[in-house]
Amino acid sequence: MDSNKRSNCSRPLLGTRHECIGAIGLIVAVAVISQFLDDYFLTLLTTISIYALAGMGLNLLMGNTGLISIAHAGFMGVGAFSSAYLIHDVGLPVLLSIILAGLITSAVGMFFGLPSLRLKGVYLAMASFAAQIILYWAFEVSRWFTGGQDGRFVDRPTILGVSFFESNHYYLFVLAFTVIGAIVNFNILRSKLGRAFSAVRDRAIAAELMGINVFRTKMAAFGLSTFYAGVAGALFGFYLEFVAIQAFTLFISIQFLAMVIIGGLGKVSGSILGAAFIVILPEVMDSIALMITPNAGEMAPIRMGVFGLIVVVFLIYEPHGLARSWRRFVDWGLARMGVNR
Amino acid sequence: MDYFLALVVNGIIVGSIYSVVALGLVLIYKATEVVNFAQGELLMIGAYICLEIIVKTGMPFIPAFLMSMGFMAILALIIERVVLRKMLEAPVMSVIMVTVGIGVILRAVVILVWKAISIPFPEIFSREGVSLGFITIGQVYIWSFVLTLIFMGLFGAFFKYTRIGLVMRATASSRKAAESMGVPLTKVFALAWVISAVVSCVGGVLAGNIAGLSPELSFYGIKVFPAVILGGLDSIVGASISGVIIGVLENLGGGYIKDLTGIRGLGPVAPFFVLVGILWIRPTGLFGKKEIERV
Repeated sequence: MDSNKRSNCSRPLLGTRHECIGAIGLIVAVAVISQFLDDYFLTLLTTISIYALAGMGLNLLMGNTGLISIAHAGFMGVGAFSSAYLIHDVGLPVLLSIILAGLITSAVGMFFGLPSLRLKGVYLAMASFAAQIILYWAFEVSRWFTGGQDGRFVDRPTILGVSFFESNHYYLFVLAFTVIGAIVNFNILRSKLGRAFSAVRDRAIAAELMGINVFRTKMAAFGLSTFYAGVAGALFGFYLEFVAIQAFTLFISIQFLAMVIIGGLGKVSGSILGAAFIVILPEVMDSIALMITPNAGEMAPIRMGVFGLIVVVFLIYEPHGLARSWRRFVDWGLARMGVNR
Repeated sequence: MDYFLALVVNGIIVGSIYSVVALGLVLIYKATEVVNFAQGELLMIGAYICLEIIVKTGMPFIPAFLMSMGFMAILALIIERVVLRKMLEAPVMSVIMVTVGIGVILRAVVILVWKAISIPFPEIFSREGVSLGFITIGQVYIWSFVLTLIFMGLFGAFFKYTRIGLVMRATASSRKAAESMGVPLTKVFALAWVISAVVSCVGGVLAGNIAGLSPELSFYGIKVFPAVILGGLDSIVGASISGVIIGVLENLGGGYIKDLTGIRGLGPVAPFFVLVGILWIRPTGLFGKKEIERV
């Protein structure tokens, strides 16, 4: 355990050698397998990767800094529409647009994060709640930007002559972003800024006494978190080839919240597990529901109800989320095999 | 001028329903420090239950109304006992999320049972207009306003003059002190949930009377947030007054700003701009206690 810690510090980019090899192996495996999947599974995989990216952002804010945002779908929308606008109406190259979309979202996020300076807990929740409603309304009204109720079309990107039009190729594009996002996320948590996040979360006053600028740290958390959301939004838009405001409702924001809570607050693995859970759950439920009731109209509410139930159950019985369950499972397995950690 | 007055009167009446719902929200917050994000769904369930009793049993309105209140009380007891009681020590964020989860479940149940369609409420109060001199408004609006006032008065009296009300106020003002004086906290928490659910049932039935029933009713739970923040999250008086203010504002916003600027749909959003503004300038609201934990 001790050597683990040391190597974590000396090689912040990669973690321990085993973790590093394991992670690279997993990524390569996913990348290779994804090339042979049919459209259905590719859709799931792509959605999971994009949600995981957005989830990492939200987790930085909620899990690591102890702030809250009920507007993450709204922020994702800002990113999606910005990138669509920058590419098609302004004519900027794709990668630049994605980065810019992230930055624009970041600016919007920081603006709505400003009240966090003075507020915490429920009051901050209310502020971000208002942000979600105001953003959605802004999407509806500003037709020049979002196409209003009609939405707007976006093309899958072509970069340096390489087209990512095919779904399996596009998945690699998304995967690259998710992997970079995860690496950055890991390393931010081990950096001075990441430690400042935890300090602010655990006790803001003590953090201030240690010389941390609480306001700046919180703004950084909001900026970073919404940057992730913006980039995820842009990727989401490309994937669907169509950005509709209905993809960024309050309910989706709630889903994101549930995602990080179910996955595990403050853990990168939590964001990824949570995303996988939230995306796969409805699919599993649909196949079960199909056996019980052939009535498709009843499926949506059943899906919703089970979702709510799972959120409640997780909060009561596994407040540290799937990341903790996984850890426990691995420890149990290792103990059974007689491996001493 | 008539247009202005019509907007204001309409705002006051719709706002009075916000007040009732806000009252429920503030009650739970004061007693248990939980912000209930499922308030709108409680309201919706209450209205649907009342409708179901009237339609299925053909009971007159008043007993059906009382029965649905009783049902809501039981539902609230279950929610408090099964879920919230286990979250007493949990961080704010988790508690918020758990009420959101409850809201989602209740909403799913409503859509499953009654489908996502609009159902007209049986006509209990006549929709026929009554002239107030300068404008004409439907009787149903006047009744809803009057009933709101009556219920607010009843709850006010309950808190002021009954022993249980006193205990609840004591708990709200200092949980620790109340506990050391032998107040059974869990019972107070449960009671707060019960009252809040009953209050939102009142709001739901009144709102349903005016606009009919649909899952959209749960938006009252959302719209009421600006009201509680404006009034101060822990002020019952504030909630009552600012509910009306928000109602008026929403109507004026929807009416005038649309005419002046052509921006559609600002009415329902206007209160949220106010919400953000208040959180900026004066997070305690108009009547709230000053001791918000500042960071």
